[in-house]
Amino acid sequence: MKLRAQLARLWNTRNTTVSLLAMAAGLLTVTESVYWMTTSPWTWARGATFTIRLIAIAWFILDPGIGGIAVACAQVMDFLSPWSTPISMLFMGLLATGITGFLRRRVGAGVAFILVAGAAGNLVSRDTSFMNDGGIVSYAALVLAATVVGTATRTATWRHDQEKRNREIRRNTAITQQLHDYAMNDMNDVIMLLDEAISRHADIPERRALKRIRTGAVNALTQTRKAIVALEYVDAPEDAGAPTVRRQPGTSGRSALHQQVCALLDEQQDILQSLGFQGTVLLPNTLPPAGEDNTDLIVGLVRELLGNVAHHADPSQGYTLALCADVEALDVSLADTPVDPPSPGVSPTGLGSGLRRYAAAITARRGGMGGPCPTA
Amino acid sequence: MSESTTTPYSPVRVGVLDNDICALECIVALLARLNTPNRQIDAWASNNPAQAIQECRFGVRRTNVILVDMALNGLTGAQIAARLRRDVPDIGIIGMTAYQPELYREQLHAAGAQALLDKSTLRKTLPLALDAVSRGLAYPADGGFDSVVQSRMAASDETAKRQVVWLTVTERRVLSLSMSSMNTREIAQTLHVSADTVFSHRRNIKNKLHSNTWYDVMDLCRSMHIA
Repeated sequence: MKLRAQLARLWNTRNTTVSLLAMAAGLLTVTESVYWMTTSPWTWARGATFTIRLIAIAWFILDPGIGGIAVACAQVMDFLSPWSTPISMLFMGLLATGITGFLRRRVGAGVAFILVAGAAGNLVSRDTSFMNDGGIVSYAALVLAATVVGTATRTATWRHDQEKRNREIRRNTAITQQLHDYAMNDMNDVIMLLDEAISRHADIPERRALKRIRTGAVNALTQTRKAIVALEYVDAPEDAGAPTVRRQPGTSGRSALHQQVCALLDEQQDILQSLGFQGTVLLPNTLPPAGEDNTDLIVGLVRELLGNVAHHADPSQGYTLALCADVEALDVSLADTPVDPPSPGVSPTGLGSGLRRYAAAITARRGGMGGPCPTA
Repeated sequence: MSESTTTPYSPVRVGVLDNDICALECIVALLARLNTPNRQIDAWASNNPAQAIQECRFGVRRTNVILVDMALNGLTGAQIAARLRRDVPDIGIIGMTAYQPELYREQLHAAGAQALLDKSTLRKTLPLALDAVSRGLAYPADGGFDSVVQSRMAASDETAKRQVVWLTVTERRVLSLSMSSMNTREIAQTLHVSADTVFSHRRNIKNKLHSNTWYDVMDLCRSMHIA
C-alpha cells in the first residue's frame, strides 16, 4: 500500500514532457532488449540484466531526477557484462544524462561521470569493444554534449520562469497600488459620506437602508484589504531595472531629478539660512525619473520659488516646501508669508514674470499652477 | 483628571491634512458635529502638506492637534509627523489611513505620533482620540504610542544617538565653517578647494548623518550644540 501510494505520488508529480521522452526511449530500449532476449541463448545472468534494465527504465520514467542514476548504473552493468549492450540503451544513457542535468545539475554531472567510468571499464575489460580506436572519446564527447544540453536548457528555462514571475510581480504590484490609492480611498469616502448622512438625518425612514449600505461598504473595504495583502509580494523582482512602486531604494537608486533637486536644495537653503530663514523641505524618498526637459523645468521652478522666498517672504515666518509625486504627476508646493501682504481686492495669486514663464511651460505639459490652497 | 463629559475643555484647535478632498470634507463635518460647549473644537483643513506645516509652525492661532493622512502622493504621514515633531514639539499628532493601520503603526510611532486611526471607524474613535491627544496623551493608552512629552524626549534621544558618527577632518571643517554661517563659496575659498568639492563633502556628511537635506544637518548640529 505504501509502495502504491509512493508510486501514485511520483506519477502525479512527474514532469510530463520529460516523462514522455523517457517513455518513448524506454519503449524502444525494452523492445530491443526483448528482441535480444528472444534471439539469444537464455541464461539467468541475461535474465537478471534484462530485469534490472527494465526496473531502471521504469524508475527513470517515474522519477527522472533519481531514475537517471539507475539507468546509468544499468548501462554500466551492460558495459561490464560479457554480452552486447542494446544500441538503444546507449541513447537511453545519453538521454538520462541530459534529463538529470536539466532537473538536477549535480546529479546530471554524477550520471555523466558514471557513464564515462563505465565506458572506460568496458574499454579495459574487453579486447574488442566499440570503445576501442577512439570510441571512448566519441562516447565521452556525446555524454558531455548531453550534459551541456541539459544544463543549458535548465538555465534557459529558469530564466524564462524568473522573467515570467517578475512580470507577474510587477503586474500585481501595479494592481495593488491602484487598489490601495484609488479603490480603498473611494470605498472609505463612501463609508464616511454614509456616516455623515446617517448622523445628519437621524429620523428619516431610509436610515436603515443607509446603515445596510454602510455595512456592505465596510465588507467591501475589508475584502479589498485582504485582496491587497494576497497580491502583494514580499520579494522584489530580481532584475535591477524593474520598477517597484512600494519599495524605497537607497541613494544609489535615486533618479537624476532627485539628485539635482537635492543638490539645489542644499545650495538654496544655504542662502536662505544666511538671510535668516528657517525652512522645512519635504521630499519623498525618491522622485521618479522625469526626462531631461522636465527635470530642467522642475529644478528651475524650485529655484524660482525659493528665490521668491528670499525676495518677498518674511524671514520670521519661515517657509515650507513640499514635493509630492506619484507615477502620473509631480506636485511642488511652497508656503511662506509675504513681507508685504497683497492689497484688498487684489488676487494673492499674482505671479511674477518668472513664475508666469514657468506657468506657461507647465500648462503646455497639461499641468497647472495656482495660488494659496483654501483651508476650511 | 476625571473623564466626566460635563467637564469643560479648553478650545482645541485641530488641523486636518488629507489629499482626498472628499475625506477632508467629511472629517471637517465630523469635527463640526463634535464641537459642543463641553468640547470646543476650532478646525482648519488643508490638502497641501506645505501649507499645513506652515500653519502649524506659524499660524496665528496655535494648533493643538493635527490629523494626518498616511499616504500623501509620495510623502508619508510619518514624514510629516517627524517634521512636525521637530518643528512644533508640543503638537499632538494623529495619523489616519484607509488602509490597514498595522502597516503604518511602527513608522508613525517612531515619528512621534500619539495615535493611528482607521478612517472607516473615525465616527467612533475620533472623539476619544481627540480627547486624549489634546491632553498630550496617547490613544489608546495601550496602543503602543507615546505621549507628546515622551515623543519629544525620544526625538532628543535619537539626536543624541547620531553623535556616534565618524567624520573626516575635512568634513568636520566643512561642518564647522557652515555652522559659522559661511556660505559655500566662502568655505571653498577658506579650504582652497572648489565649490563642487564642498558640495561633495556635504553629500557625504548628509549620508553619514542620515539626513535628507543640508538644512537638516545644520539643525541637528544646532540641537547637539556643535559650534
